[in-house]
Amino acid sequence: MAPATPRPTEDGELHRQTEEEYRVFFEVAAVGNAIVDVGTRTFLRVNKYLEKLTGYSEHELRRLTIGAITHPDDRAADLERFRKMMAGETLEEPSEKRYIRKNGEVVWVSATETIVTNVEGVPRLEIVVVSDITARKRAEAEVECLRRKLELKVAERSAELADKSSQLEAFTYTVAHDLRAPLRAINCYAEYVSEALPPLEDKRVANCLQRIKDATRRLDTLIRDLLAYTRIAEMELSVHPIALQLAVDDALRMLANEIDRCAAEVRVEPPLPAVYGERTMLGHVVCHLLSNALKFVARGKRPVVRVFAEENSDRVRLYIADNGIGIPPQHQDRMFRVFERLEAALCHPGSGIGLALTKKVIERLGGSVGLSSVEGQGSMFWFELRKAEL
Amino acid sequence: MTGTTFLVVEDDENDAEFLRTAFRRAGPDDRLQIVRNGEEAVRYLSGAGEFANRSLHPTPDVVITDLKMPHMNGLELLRLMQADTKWRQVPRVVLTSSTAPADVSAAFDLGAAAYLIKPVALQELNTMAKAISDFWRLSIGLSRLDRLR
Repeated sequence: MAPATPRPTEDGELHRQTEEEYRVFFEVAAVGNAIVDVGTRTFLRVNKYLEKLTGYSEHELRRLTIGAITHPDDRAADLERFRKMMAGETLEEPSEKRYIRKNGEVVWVSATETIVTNVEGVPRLEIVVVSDITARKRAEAEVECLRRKLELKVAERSAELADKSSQLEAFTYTVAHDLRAPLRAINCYAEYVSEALPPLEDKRVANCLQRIKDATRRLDTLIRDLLAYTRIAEMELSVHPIALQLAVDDALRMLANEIDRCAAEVRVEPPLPAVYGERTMLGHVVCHLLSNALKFVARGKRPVVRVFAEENSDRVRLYIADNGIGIPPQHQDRMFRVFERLEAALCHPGSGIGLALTKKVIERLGGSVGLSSVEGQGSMFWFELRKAEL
Repeated sequence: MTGTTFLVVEDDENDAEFLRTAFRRAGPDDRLQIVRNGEEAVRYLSGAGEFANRSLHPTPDVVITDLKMPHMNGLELLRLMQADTKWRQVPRVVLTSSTAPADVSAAFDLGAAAYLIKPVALQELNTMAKAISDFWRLSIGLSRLDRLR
């Protein structure tokens, strides 16, 4: 049996069904939907969700414009968007703005607006879809607040640190000035007394005076090295390619007298390649390591020191190997710390800061230091820096 | 040839005493006038108050100043001297225990002719005093000769 329903009625039914579907779609959506008059921007139809979101009933909203429920600070931007859309522009991004609810609360929404035109292209209606983004905005604000607090805390800590650092500078200055003045006094008065002492006077007195003078000189070296150590951290270094040979030559010149005095044999084994460093600093580092190598030798033994380099793909390591007293394994990792003087070292002059200073300098130049040693046979100190081309 | 008149600005009594002894040995003709800080040095240079008598407190040929002192420190004194047309003519030497690079460059910026570190050993101090005394005797002698010509 053929269907008896006439075509126009079928069309009407279809239209009714579609309309019903859209109505449900409009009504039950989990977002706020509104149809707005393009002339007045008053609400023509809204769904339940929007009623809940704004706190106004549909009846009330019909007497309100979009502008009326938009936060005063967001109205200008909202109007601007509307103007663009009316001029035919398509806006890619939804806008984020604030509505004022009926009870005065502020609610953040993400709004997508579309202009519906008639067949001639004349704007007929505005369709607005809004979702509640208050929770996200609140979270964002919280994150921002925490970020600000963190920044503030970091700034506070940095200021504290800068303060501590300047206190340290002031302290080292005081150490230099105030500690060295009485030291100078002790030493000079001891020398006056020595000078005034008749030559045949009790030897013990002369001996004591000599010990006073030696002690003050040691203390003075210690203070100066401590100052140098604290200053290294703040010093500006200009790192550039430098031939290690130059630093070794500088050091040998500085130590010429000492090498002569102990009749040492210093064997420099080329090639000593170029590294990234600073000539004066490296000269002092090599000088210190060489001077240690000459110093820590068993009584009566002639110091023999080898200076040689080893290179790999991007680093160069300079070794200073001696035939000295060596360092027991349990002490080796303490060697580069400030004030770590081993018992054996107590019979040799020095402040106990030199190796710490060496380590700090090399680290500031981007390198590392180390040692290997066998007690009674000798030590081999090394430092390693980035290889350079000259 | 007569010796040099040094105005030593030094707050540490011991250091002042060592300098006096060292200069007595280095240049017996030199005269050492010692004041205790920058403020006193300014009074001395202007011949004010207790320094009014110029036969007792002659105008110095050279000023040797410490840096860290109460009331007015050495750098402030150097600044004042550099700003004064008359005092600017007097050579200024810094003698301090400060090895801080900032102090060294500030001193030279403020017109110091030399920057010397106080030695700990008496022998070094004697050598330093001798060098200072000899240098300025020669230098001031030469400029006096120039003026005579």
